[in-house]
Amino acid sequence: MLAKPMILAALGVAFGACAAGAQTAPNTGYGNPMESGRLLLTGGVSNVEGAGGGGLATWALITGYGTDDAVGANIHGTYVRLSDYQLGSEGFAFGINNRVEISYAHQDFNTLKVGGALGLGRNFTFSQEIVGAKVRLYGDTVYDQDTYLPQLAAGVQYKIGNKNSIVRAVGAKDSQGADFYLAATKLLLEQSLLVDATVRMTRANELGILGFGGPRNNSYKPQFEGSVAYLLTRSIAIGGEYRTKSSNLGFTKETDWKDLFIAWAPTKNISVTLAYVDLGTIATKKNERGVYLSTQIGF
Amino acid sequence: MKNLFRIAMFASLVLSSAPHAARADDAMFQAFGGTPGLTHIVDDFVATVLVDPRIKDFFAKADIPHLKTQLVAQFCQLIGGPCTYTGADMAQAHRGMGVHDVHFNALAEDLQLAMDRAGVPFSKQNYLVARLAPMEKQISVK
Repeated sequence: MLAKPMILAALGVAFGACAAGAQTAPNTGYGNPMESGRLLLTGGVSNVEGAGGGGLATWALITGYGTDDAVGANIHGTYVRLSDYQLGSEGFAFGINNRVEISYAHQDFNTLKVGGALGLGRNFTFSQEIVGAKVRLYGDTVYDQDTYLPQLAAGVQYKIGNKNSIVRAVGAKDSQGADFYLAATKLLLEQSLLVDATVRMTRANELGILGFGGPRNNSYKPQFEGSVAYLLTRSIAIGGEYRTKSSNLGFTKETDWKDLFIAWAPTKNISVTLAYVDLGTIATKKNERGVYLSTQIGF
Repeated sequence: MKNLFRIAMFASLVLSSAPHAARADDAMFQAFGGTPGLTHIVDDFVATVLVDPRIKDFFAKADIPHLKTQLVAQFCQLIGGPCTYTGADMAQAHRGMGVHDVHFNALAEDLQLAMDRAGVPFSKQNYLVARLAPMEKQISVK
């Protein structure tokens, strides 16, 4: 139990050192491969699955501030407190040459009192590891202000849950699985607006926390996730998101997710995202609403 | 087949028309303080660039007064002011300089700072930056 926070703390120190180095190292043209050379907030923040995006939605942006000749990297910690559950996510991500993104997130979904009522035990926690890869296929969100075409990226997220027998007992077919997505992100700079639309092929139940597939549906279905963000200043964005969900399980409905957020990046090395989330029905509990708080540190 | 052709024609029209065709917009020009405002912004911008360790070396041999005149004319035209930019096209002006996206962005950040200091509202700043951003594709080495 102690190992994970320690690893994350060590990574945090390492990233902090890198970030400081990236700022203070003497600059020799594009020779500094860790220079945060992209504009503020143009890497998005770390979303709930660890990928570069908003809060609930994954975007086509490559995480971090690395340009075509550089890498960016960050760590994140996200905490969501709902009426009956809490969700935590910690992880790290790399952006390479503003082309490829590799991400990792560890999620803990704590059932609090509901776990007791379901006979699982109070504070029964589902965990999953999410390893993601994303590649930018086309376009540039910032520079393509002379066309309506968005930046396009394709990605995959492999998710491994740790409660195989439980998720199978509630009807899921698997405790691990892959999501595949195509994301389109457009910055309408003249309007100070960023718009994202992403289609995800998935069998996941509640991101995969409740396994994959179920008695109602066991096949890949396209689901939509999208964000609209308005840039109040260079460092503050406000917006809303929507994410549709499959309802594969028999014992409970699964409903769409939505949120309203504010993201603040005082520097390229840190961002804080605060959101009001409405995650609807989760494992028979209705009206799961609450607060989402996420911090990202990196360069 | 005919419909398909129509759709293709429509799509190519939409895609080829820039989202922001140049137009006279006096309110925008005034938001930058007209010609005196732009001149002040460009003076401050260039002064910032010349001490920015990320990009100052590109300007070591530049004719600074000429550069400033050209920038004022270019920005003025881009925000719909009564000017015509007659300088070199962006690809030509930067050929062989080895400019990368990281430098382009550094320049953009310096311009944003100068606009901040001149009190240009953020949304108005974005109007100009949105017109400068596509030039990266002509300026930068890929």
